[in-house]
Amino acid sequence: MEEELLRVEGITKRFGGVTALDDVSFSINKGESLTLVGQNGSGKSTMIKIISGVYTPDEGDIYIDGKHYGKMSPLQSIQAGIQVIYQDFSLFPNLTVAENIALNDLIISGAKTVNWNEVKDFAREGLRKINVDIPLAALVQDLSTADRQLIAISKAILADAKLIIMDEPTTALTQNEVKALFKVIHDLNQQGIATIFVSHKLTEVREIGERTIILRNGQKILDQDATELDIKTIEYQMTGRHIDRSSIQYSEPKEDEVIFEVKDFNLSHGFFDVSFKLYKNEVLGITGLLGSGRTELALSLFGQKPADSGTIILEGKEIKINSIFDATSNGIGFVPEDRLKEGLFLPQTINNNIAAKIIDSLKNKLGFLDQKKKMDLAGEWIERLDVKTPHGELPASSLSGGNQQRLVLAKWLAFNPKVLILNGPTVGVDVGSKAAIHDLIRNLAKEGMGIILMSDDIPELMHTCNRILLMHRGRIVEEFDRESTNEDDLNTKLIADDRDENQKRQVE
Amino acid sequence: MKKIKDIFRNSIKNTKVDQQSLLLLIIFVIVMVFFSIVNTDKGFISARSVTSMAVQLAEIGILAVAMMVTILIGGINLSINATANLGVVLSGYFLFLMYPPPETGGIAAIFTQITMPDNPASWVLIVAMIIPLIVGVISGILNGYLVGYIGVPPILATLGTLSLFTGIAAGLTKGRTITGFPDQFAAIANGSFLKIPIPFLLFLLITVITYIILNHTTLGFKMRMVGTNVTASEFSGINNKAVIMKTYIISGVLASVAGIIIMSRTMSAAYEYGATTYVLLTILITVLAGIQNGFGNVINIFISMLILQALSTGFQMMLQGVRGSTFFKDFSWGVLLIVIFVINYLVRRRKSKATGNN
Repeated sequence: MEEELLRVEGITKRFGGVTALDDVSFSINKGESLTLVGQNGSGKSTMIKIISGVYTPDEGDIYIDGKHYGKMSPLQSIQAGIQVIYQDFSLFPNLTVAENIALNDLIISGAKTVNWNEVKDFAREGLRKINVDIPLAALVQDLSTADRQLIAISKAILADAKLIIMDEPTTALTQNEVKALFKVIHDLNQQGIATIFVSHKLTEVREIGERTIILRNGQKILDQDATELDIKTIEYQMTGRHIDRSSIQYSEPKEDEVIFEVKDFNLSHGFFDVSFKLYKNEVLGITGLLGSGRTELALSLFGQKPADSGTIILEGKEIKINSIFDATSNGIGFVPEDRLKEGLFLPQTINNNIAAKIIDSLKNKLGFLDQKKKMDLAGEWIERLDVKTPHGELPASSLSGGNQQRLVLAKWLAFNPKVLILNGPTVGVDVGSKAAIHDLIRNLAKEGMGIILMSDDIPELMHTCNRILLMHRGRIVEEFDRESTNEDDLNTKLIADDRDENQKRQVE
Repeated sequence: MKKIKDIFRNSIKNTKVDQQSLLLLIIFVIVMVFFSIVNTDKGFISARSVTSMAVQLAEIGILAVAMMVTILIGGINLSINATANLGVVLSGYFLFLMYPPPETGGIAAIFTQITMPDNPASWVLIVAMIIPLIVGVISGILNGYLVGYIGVPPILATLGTLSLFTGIAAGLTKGRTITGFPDQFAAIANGSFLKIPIPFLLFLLITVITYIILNHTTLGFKMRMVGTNVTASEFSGINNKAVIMKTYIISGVLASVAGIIIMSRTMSAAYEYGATTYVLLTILITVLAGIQNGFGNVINIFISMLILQALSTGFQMMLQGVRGSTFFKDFSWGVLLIVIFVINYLVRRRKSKATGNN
């Protein structure tokens, strides 16, 4: 098995004046599982694009199966057995599972008519190779993210892949789906197919990879056996600085002062009998897997999906939230889960993104929009949240994921809400930004803003929250105190519920 | 000093709209110089020809602004022309009610020729002017309700109202053209102020007001946000429904103003005036002006109109007496559109190559 599959030597790639990759070399053997780790902008994506032939390196050589490639085209890369599974999977949502899997083969074969039995056999074979069972006639748009990913993988295998590269494959998966994916990856490795796994989530890096490569600012910082690494080392090597968790200052909640209270909150097909209190200076965590009602609860509290019944009490007064307007005029802010779709105006400037919520307060005496006020306000938040950009008139799309998330936060902090609900605030955010956002969240709570943090990232909850509520099938089933629980315990509880559910589903 | 230069360079790099203005201005100058040379003996830049151009471009220009604001918020308004026509048809119907024709069996019998008395009451004239504007507001409310509140896709909603308005106007006129509007109305299209035709001044005024709304009010800001990402604007607490409603009302009223100018120029109202060409033309102008969802500068609509009108008049003069010369106008517009697309594409490609796409 120690046969070398791919080797890159001295790869350098520059964009304009920026060096994205600086003299990077590494190799991967057949059937090996490699993880590629690095913050946003560290050069991971550029490396993948070079291996897959999308970019041509300025310097350096690529060897696949001992064959030297100076300039490699995407087609050559595919012919050499390299398959990349991007985050969008490149599937056709309006076609069936079978059609999606067999499509490449259909096109290559050049047949003018379609033999549907052949298509199905071919697709079945593809799914069998990774030991999964997905109905062949189902439309891809009806499937979960996890199933789509498996289809993309089986497609890659049928294309005779020797190396499968997965770009942050676990971002939208539940814990159980991640486990299933890892099993598939292990199977692939057993069959002699090498995998490169790109991730932000450090716990996964240790679980899946035999070997870990860390990139930082375009340079290879570390290349060693995963078993010898601990999370602290990985973190340090990624960011170049120590993130010290032991010194985290949690603020002490004032238990006699309730900022926000929800009683008997209900939404059909969403959540049932949800009641909780949020104390002053407290960060309240709400967790649960996909489908637990967590997101629905967030949307109802923000008025986007008004609840059917229940009482909401803000600072001692009962309020009604039937629309987003109701929520915001009562001082409730919301950082949504899907940054790109729900949070950002990507092609608009950074300044406009920050000003979007409070634009009505940026008028001059004549009632016209005061551009200078807008710039000043945005500039202030760019500085306070340390958004890394040359200036605020660049489009939001020019920023990295972590900085984009800071924009969404700035938009709401400029509004100075009484209660801020955050749903998955660090999804797809690099470690450095993540720690900064956690710091910010704790500080906001300390300054008196009520914070509700919804997340399924257990370490994140442990690092920020005072109390954590666990949701399952639309109900709050358990409450944890940070001090009397730990990550492993929470993790088990979270997944145990999921397993429960799967069993029930099978019984039904 | 270097810093200032950097800021300057950055601001040029990042304002797509201004690049488009520059491109359009250059094209305008080229077109004007070309026709001035080709048509020297025919007097391309004579007072008479410039005046006639200024009148013609105004009505389509205003319709183009009506189209532009809806495209800016990610919508479209196919009913602008139908709104314009219905407005003036109803205005004619009102005059008909006020001054019923003699010796006929009532309004339903014939509805083509208005017989105005020598001295009509001035309030009647004023109401006849206001009616189209009210129709514009109602059209906007209807479109805004369908798109913003019910959630009908803009292209379908406004296609529906297009049919509705055309149908009402056709029913009222029995498919015929209303003529005989009061002489006072002719002053709008034919009058001038400081030797500048009034329609052109109206177009200029509307351009300026729209510019202020889009660039210096919070409504304009919200329109851009809604056009860029309607979900994110909802999640930012922007009242999308109100923004969409206001935008379609602006669009409807502008359409009506164009309708009044057309009525004043032709001194008639027809249920399907310009029906086959105007709407497509306004979409073409919007594209030419580089208007996209969330981005765009109304000044570019103005410059685009100047170019199109110069091309149309220029070729007309050049090919005077040649058979089929009118088709050359459409041809030249098509060529222009493609040229601008290609230039924009090349500029964008060069830019993305320079920055990389990581």
